[in-house]
Order: sequence, then C-alpha cells, then structure tokens
Amino acid sequence: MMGEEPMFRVEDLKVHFPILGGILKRPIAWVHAVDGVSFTIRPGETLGIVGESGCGKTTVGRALLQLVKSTGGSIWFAPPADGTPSAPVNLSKIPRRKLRRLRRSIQIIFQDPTSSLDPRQLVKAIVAEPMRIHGLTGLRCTKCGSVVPIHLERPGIACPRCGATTEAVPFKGAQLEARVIELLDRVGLNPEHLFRYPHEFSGGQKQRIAITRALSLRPAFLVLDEPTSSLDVSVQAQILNLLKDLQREYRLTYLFISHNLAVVRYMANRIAVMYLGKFIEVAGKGELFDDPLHPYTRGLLETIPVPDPERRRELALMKGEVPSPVSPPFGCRFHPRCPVAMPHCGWEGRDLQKVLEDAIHEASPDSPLSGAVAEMQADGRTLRIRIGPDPERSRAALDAFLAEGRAVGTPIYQAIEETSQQGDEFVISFRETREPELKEVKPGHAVACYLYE
Amino acid sequence: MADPVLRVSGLKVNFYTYDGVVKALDGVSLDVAPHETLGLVGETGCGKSVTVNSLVKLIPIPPGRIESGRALLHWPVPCPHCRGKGCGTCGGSGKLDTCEACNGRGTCSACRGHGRFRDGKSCARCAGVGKCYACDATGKRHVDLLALSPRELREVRGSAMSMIFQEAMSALNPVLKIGEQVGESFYYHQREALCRATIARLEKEIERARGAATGAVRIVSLRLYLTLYRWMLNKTESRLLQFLRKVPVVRRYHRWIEKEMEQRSLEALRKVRIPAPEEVLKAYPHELSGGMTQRVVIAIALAGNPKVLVADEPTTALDVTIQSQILRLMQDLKAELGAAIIFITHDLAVIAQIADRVAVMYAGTIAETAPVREIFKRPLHPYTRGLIGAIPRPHQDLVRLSEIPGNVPNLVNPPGGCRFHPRCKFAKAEVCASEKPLLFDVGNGHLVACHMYDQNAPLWTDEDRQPRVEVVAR
Repeated sequence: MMGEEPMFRVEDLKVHFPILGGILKRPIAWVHAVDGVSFTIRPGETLGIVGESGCGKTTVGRALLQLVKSTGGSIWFAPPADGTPSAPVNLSKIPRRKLRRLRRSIQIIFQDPTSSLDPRQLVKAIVAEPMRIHGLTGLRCTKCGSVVPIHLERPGIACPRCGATTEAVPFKGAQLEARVIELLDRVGLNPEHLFRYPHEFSGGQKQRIAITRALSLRPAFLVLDEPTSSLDVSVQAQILNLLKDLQREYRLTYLFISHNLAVVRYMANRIAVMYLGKFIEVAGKGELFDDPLHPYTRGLLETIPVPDPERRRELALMKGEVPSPVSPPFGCRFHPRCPVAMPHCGWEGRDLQKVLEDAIHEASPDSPLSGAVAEMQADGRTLRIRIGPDPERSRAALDAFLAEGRAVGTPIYQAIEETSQQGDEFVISFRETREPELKEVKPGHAVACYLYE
Repeated sequence: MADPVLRVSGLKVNFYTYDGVVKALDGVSLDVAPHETLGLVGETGCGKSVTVNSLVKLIPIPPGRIESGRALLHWPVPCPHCRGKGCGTCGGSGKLDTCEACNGRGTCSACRGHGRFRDGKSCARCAGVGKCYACDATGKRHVDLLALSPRELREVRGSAMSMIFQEAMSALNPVLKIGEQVGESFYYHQREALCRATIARLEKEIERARGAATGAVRIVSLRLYLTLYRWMLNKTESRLLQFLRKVPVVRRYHRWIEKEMEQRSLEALRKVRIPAPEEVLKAYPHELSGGMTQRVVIAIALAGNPKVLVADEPTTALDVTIQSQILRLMQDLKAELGAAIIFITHDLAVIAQIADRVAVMYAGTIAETAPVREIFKRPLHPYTRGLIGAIPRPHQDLVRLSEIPGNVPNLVNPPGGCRFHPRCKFAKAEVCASEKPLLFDVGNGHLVACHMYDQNAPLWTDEDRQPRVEVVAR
C-alpha cells in the first residue's frame, strides 16, 4: 500500500506575483516565480529541490502549504488517516477552514530560525501553541494517569506502563508540559530550556526549537526550506542527522529545499533541479549525480567546490547570471547561458541585441559596424534596428556581421528566420519554438532539454 | 618557507561588555608567506574576522581592546631622498628595505646579538635571544601594525593591507555612484601617482594651448592648476587644498585629477572582468547584481596594490555559479598581482579549492595549520577531524555525517586549558582541562595545538593519533 499512492501529486503548479504600478496600482507585469511544475511525492521519501536563488524553489514549498495562493494548477494531497492515505484533496481549491485542519499534517521549517520564532514567547509557549490551536489530544492511562509517549501513540493502545486501557484527552497543563519536554528531549534540548526566550539560544538550537514546534502536531509531511543554510558545518551535520533520524522514527515525508547540492545529495532520495520557475531535470540522486543530462545540471555540478584538494581544478564557469523571472527567455529558459545551445532552443530579439551591443562596443571606431546602429528594440522574436545615417553602408555592415556569425556556426545566427527592411528599420526575426517539456528519457530520470528529444 | 610578509604572534583581544569580558582571541599566531593564499577556517564566532580586523584596528575600541601581541608586516617604503628613483641612500633600488633598529644585521641592537651583556646580565630587549626585535631577525624593514599611530595606520590600510568584505552591498555606499567609490580609493591611496599623471597632462595641455593661441586666460588658469597640483604632490594633506575644493569656480581645478581617477577606475573595473565598465561607473550599487557588486568591492580593494589582501567570506552570500566566477577571478588576479591573500571562510570546500595553506580556528585559538593537501589528508586536531567529517560531499553518498557533539563555548567563560576539551572525545582530565596546548610541529609545515601530539605525552596511544576522519560512505 505504502509507496504506491503518492502523498502529493502536483500538476502544472503556477505561482505568479503581480508587480503593481500606475495610478490605480494595477498589475503591470508578473513575476513568474513558479511556472508550470508537476511532481509527485510518495510517502516516506525525500524529494530535494535545488536551484539558484530566485529560481522559485521556496515558492514551491510555500505553495504546497498554501502559504502563497497558487495562480494555476492543482495540488492533490492524500492526508494520511491512521497510517493509511485517504482520498486526495486539492489544496488549492478547498475552503480555508478545511485547509487549516489539513495543515496539521503538513508543516514547514523555515530557513532563518531567528525570524521564525516569536522573540516574546517562551520556548514552552512556542512549542505548545500549535498543539493548543489544533486541540491535539493525547492518550492517558485510565489507571496510572501517565500519557503515552509520542512514538508509541496509536489508537486503542494499552498503557505501556501498567497495561490498562487509555483514553483520549486534550493536552492541557501538566500533560502539555510533559509532551513539550518529551519533544524537546527528542531533538536534544533539556527541560531547563523550557522557560527561555529564543534570543538566548544559538542558531542550531533555535532550529531545533523550530523542528520541535513542527513535530508537535505529529505531521506526516514536512517542507524543509533551507533549514541549515544559516548554520555552520558542524551544526549543520547535527541538524541534518537529526532530521534523518526523525524521518525514520516518525515515518515522515520531506520536501527538502536547498541551494547546496552536497546537502541535497545527503538528504534526498530524488532530486529536482529547478531553473527560473521550471523543473529542468528530475532523477534519483544516484542517477542525477552520476549521469546528469541537462547542461545546467552538468554546469552546476562542475561549479560546486569539492572539499578535496586532490580534486582541485580550474573551477568551471557558467557564463552570465540568472535572467529576470518577470520575462523569462523564450524556448528553453537556459538557452542564453547554455554551452551547447542549438538553433531551435528559443533565440529571440533581446539575445541578438545583447550580442550586437557587445560587438559594437568592442569594434574599433573606424569599422563599418560602429556607426551602423542608431537604435535597437527587441520585441519578442523580432529585433528592430534603426540603422545609422549611412543606410547602404550600415545595411551592408549588419548583413556581413550576421553572415559571418552564420558561417562560424553560432546557433543564434542560424536561428534567424528572415531579415527584412521596413523604411529605415532593419527587422530580424527568429524562428518559432516551443518550450522543451520535462520528459522521461530513462526510467525515473526526466529532463527538459532539446538534446534528448 | 620564505620570510613571511605578515607575522602575527600572541594576538590577544578582549571585548569588555556588560555581560562580562569576552575573551575573543587567546594568543593567535599566524604567518603569511609572500604570494600565498592562507585559508582561515572556523565556525561563526571563532574569531576569524576579529583576527584580521584587529590587525588594522577595525574592531570597535572600546568595547574591544588589543591586550597583547605583535603583527609584523614587511613593508618597504619608497626612498624619501630620491622618491623611488634610486640614489645612494637606498642603493639604487628606490626603496628603503632595511630594518632601522638593527641596520639590516638582524641582531639585537642593545646586546649586539650576544643575548647578554659583558657584566653577565641577560638582554631585556631581545629576552636573551639576540635577535632583532623590530624585524624578527630578517633585517628587512617591518612595521608592527598593532603599534602604529592612527595616521600611520591610515597609510597601511588600503595600500599595504586591504579588505574585501562579506556583504558587498553594505560595503558600498548606496548614495554614491560606483565611479566615485572606486575613484576615491585611488585618490586616497595613490595620490602621488595621480598627481604626477595630472601634472603631465596639464603640461601637455599648456603646450597645446600655446601652439593654438586660444587665449592667454586659459594658459594662466592651467598654470595655476599646475601650481596647485605640484603643491598637492608635496603636501598631500594640505588643509588649504581641501578648502579650495569647496570654493566655487576654484574647485574646478579638481576636475583634472578626477579625470585621472576615472581613467584608473575604468582600468580597475576591466581588471575584475566587469562587462561594460563605462556604464557601471555611472551606476549606483543597487543597480548591480550581487556578483557585480562583489567585483566592484574587489576592484576597490586592489586599487592600492596591497601586499596582503584580506578576503572576509567574499562568496558566502552568493550563489554557486556566481561563487565559482568570483573564486576563479581571485585565482587569476592572484597570479597577476602577487599579493598574499588571507581567505576567510567557514566552507572547507572553498578552502580546498583556493588555499595553499590552511589555519583552522576554534574559539579564539589556532587549532591547526598545515598546507592544504596535508590538512585534508592528515587532519590531526580532533576538531579538524570532526569538521572535515561533517561536510556533506557532492561526489559521495554518505550514510551519516560525523558530528561534533555540543556547542561552541561562550567566550565570556571559556573552558580552561584547551578550549576544545569539553567536546573532545580524546580529552584527558589531567592535562587538557588545565594546560593550554602549544602549537606542536609535526613536520611538513604542519602545526597542531593539541596535547596528544606532545612528544612526551604518554596518555594517548598511536591509535588515537591516527589522522582518521569518520565518514560512513555507502
């Protein structure tokens, strides 16, 4: 039963944030933070999401909890009732009150523990608050009055101490405190920490408190949003090991989000590589690291520094920076930085504009190219160039420039569909392409790249 | 190892806070060889930044106080007689590079190297060793950074030692253009060279104006400027010139040197591989991406041609792809410039890729220093072993990361003896809790501060001393 029915099935998830502007504060543009992402998470597994900052990995995590409203797509969640998953519900459609009840089983641990803990609450209150809000019940022995510890909790279980029957009671007073102590003890904190404020703890300890708070509701699923990126290596090792132990003990399912490939490799079973709001490669961790298919994944693996001076090498470089998610590149979103890009990868006006600007910048003042361009305007697949004062010469210079590029075999020039002249404008248009889809090329290994289509 | 450019010894820094005295550094000793990259690693709060910041007095004083220690920087200065052209005083080299105390002999000036006087008393200045105190027996011109006056310190900062800070965005002033900020560092650290270039330009301009006969007024004003710049060359910190910069009309003289600054800023930005540097000069810091601002900060740090470049976690706030671009840039620049680099980071993977030698710090002390290959192959200090075992590896499947139990100690009440002993599984109550371990030399340039490696330590077996990193690989 377990392992077959996914706990999460996300279909074409989209989260777009509006950029408001104008007098009426209407959306003038949209940030495509998450732009059509589909995946499943099976019970008990850890799915890792890696990507650079701004690629939308955190937004995916938040959308699963509906902390940000998704703009499109559906998130099917099968809430586990008594160990067996029940019928899936679409989290993006259900009413708030129902969602709140479901959130008991979906919890999140944030990146920065300092800002995710209320500085004015005692640790005891921080950990107890979710239990109080959700009216959590524990099992109390009818005879000796002791509460069944969390890892033994099962409906109808006999008291482990005296063997008598147990009854469900809401957590209050001494029992609540006992449960908080039990949880704190599990994550490596002491009862003496109960009556302290968050600022009295180190970063690692604060993260432990945040983990305790998430665990207090006995969730089935945890989103771990870069839980160790603000911690030191030795503390990071402690927290990662703790999370692994907890997963085994409480049969938890994780979504692990990080920018650190090494950490993801340690934690996850399957890894999704994200770039500009899209998954570009999804594979089991062994597959992904041994045989990366997407050029971005390969580049990423080559650029990470390896903690081994014997394997020292010239660090590989990935050219350029991540483009803005407001208007992501056409076709494959990685094509402007891709070392193996092809003519049909989605070249467009602004790519050529950048190339031309650089060429003009570098050209000597007396070369024909330097005065050829008065103004350029990229408009989707076309680039409109208002040519310089000497039209004949300018046109010839531009033609020569494009022909030279085509002869060398640079993909951007080969992608040009037609060039035409309209008045004093020289119009270059590129061929139509679609975005490469995430396709399974090997069992359990999906990649979105034209190289594999 | 060649004579170090920077030798820090016994640096002790305390911070006097309301919660008590934070014993931030407890006798830190470091050598930095010329042209090498020294990686300084350690966890948050172990004193990496305090170490380098106290060298150039960038720690807040008070509450901080440098209690003791010396930091000798090898710093030849241009010969004051010939201004670097070469004369009898400097032996034609144009530089003064002999220790003033011992006149280049390297022996103690009081006892002439004997260590004791004729009457049998031990020499107090050299503690009976006979070596020159001021230059550490090298005979070269050294300055003790910790004993400099604020004015001398200002000369050292930026030109002998400069820094690249972690957060480039907050290292730059948000209301000034990039060009002003890069140019400024040339203005303060290379004023002489700037003045000379400006004077040459002005002279050429006067020649031109004379030939063209454009008017006597222009020649007069240019001549006036020329006088001002000659004056600036001699008296770099003239109050009058500073005042003239604020007087309308007269302040126009400054445009000439500004032009020169802009020229050099452009070159500096090109050197750190910034695309379209002309536009970047006119931009404000917020208009640039994280990687670009870090490049600008590097350009500023390099403006004064430093002998020692301190990079304080320069890539921590950046993405992996940008991090590799910056690391690569630093590798290239290092080859070009020949400056020594102190590279501070908590990421051992970065250290493995960029450093020549590594110093591991723990709670205000140096735990271990060794060449980079050596430290990864034979980590000796129990803390280093734990640290290396705790790194998740990108090319290996690990079943479990090794952990160092416990937390970093509070430095108001640091553990006595070895500061690591409460977390160390090899610790023995007899020595570790009471005696501070010295740095033991175990060969291969490998120094380790742990009682286990004391020659006459019978408490540990050879098995304990095995440099083993516990990594459980699949």
